[in-house]
Amino acid sequence: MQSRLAAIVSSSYDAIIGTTLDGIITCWNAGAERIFGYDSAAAIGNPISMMAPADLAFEGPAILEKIRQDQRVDHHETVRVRKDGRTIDVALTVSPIKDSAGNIIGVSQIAQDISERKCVEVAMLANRRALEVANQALAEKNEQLSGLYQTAQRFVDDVSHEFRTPLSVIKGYSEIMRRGLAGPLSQEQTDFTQLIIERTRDLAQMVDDLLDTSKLRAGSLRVDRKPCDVATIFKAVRPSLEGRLAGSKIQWQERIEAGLPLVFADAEKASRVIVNLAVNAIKFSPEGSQVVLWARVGRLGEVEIGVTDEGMGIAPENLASIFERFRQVGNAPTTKGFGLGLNIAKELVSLNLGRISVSSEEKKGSTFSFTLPVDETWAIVGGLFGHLEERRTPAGRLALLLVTPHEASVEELRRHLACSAHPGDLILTSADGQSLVLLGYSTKPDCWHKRLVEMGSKQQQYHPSQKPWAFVAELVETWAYPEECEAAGAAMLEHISGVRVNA
Amino acid sequence: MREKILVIDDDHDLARLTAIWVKSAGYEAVTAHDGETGLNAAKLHRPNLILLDIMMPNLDGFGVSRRLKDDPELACIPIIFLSAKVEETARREALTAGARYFLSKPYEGNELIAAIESILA
Repeated sequence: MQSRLAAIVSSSYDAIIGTTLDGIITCWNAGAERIFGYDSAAAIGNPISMMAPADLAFEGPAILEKIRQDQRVDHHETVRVRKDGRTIDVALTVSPIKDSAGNIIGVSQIAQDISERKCVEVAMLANRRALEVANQALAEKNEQLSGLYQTAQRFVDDVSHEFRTPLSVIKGYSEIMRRGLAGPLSQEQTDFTQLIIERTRDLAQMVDDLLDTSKLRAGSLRVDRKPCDVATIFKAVRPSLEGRLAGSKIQWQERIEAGLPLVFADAEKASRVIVNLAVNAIKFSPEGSQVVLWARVGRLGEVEIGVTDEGMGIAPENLASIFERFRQVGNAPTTKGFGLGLNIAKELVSLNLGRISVSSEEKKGSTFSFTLPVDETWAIVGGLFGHLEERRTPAGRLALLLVTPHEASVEELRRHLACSAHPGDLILTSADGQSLVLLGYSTKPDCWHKRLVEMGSKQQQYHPSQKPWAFVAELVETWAYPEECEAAGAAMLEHISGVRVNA
Repeated sequence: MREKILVIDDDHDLARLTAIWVKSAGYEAVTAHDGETGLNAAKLHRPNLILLDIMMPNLDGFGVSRRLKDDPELACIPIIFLSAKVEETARREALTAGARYFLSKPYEGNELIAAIESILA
């Protein structure tokens, strides 16, 4: 037994040292030789304090005092000096050695070399500090950039607002002159006034485009999707197009397929897309040619709305990039702009959960068309999925909330949510008409509670005089997306159908 | 008797322009250049319709609209907002404040007349 213990001690990788109660070394194993550099002949008989650095000389007597009181010292991390003068980090475990009668007769010290671990720890600490500094710098930069971005956006908003009044004055008085309301004009004067009107209209459009782009980029454009019919949307665009058509010699036609189902869309956004496409078609069409605004049921059951012209068409190499920002359609010499219109149209169509496309043949004409989901759960939710997939949104969570109003009608709450929810959120009315179903996507895992609070506070921001909306929101389900896209889609449809049918 | 339309806009050129459109469609036009004067003009002239700007110093268009709605004798006068504000929130707030119509500046003359006629027809 004794010889086995001696073998363990001598072969231990750690230093195992025996001393008297006065700290004189009596036993010194190979591990101690390796760690401290003294061989046993040089160590035995010498005080153990020879390995303590001067500034830690007080440690040895304190440890020995504890041992005399029959106490142990467990894993005490400290520093010792090797024979070659190099300091090393060690972890000490010190305990009393007793005789068979239980009297303390000596001290056993086990020292573990922890220099490497300490080195790694110091490096990690330094790395962490460096990371903290870099992180702080990034956060400051980020804050600075977001401040600049907000300033730029506010500037665009302010400029757009400020431009509207002078534009109204120029355009309005020119129109009054052209109509002869301020006295008769010669033919040449009428033509010149018409030019002023048209260019002012272009400028007003550019101001609108800038404002829209700024809002789309900031994600602050609100969407209010609800069931609506295409004929009403067509009717709404007429006043905006009448002025353009009056100044051109275009044959304008509208065709709506019979029995077209209701669409689920923000009618105002759909109207703006149509105006946008129609204005382009009118601009790029020769005198006497035809421009048709049409609507029909598409291949997948969705509603398709399009504008077909007999203009100059678009070269195939330009088609692919036509919906990019700052692109110009064709090369008409008299038509200038920022090239934002089609990009805005694309973004607005996307907010309406649809797709935009173009087909064109040079010298024959172009057709720009977009889809809108019909007012059916499968189509609307399918549209949302298509939209998320197309945007390749980063991994996040799709959530389904049941929001029930308190002291307000469902329609009032729907309008409120529409103006405070994120543009990507989908708001449906439950089958019993008592609640709303909100489907939203977020990359932040715990955002749903925050988002509801945000919805409440935004209403305060817009209508400070009213009391905040009271509503009860229940998080029904969340799914990870897009990894579990297909399963989530099926589960969600089932769930919404459940909410719609059973609620 | 011709129907009377009150135009309230702090921009004198625009108020005059709007009045010209109103007269060209066969209506009588009265103009005011701030909210308080506009309210007094409404009490004095009892117009059939008010064309109201939103962004005006002191009392803005929303304030004018609320004060009109609070006065039982003026509450029934229909309002069309004319504004350089194009945000949906402004549009919604205008409709909540009791407006019948909302036109963004710069509007088309035809658009304005069509809106007036749809209310006064």
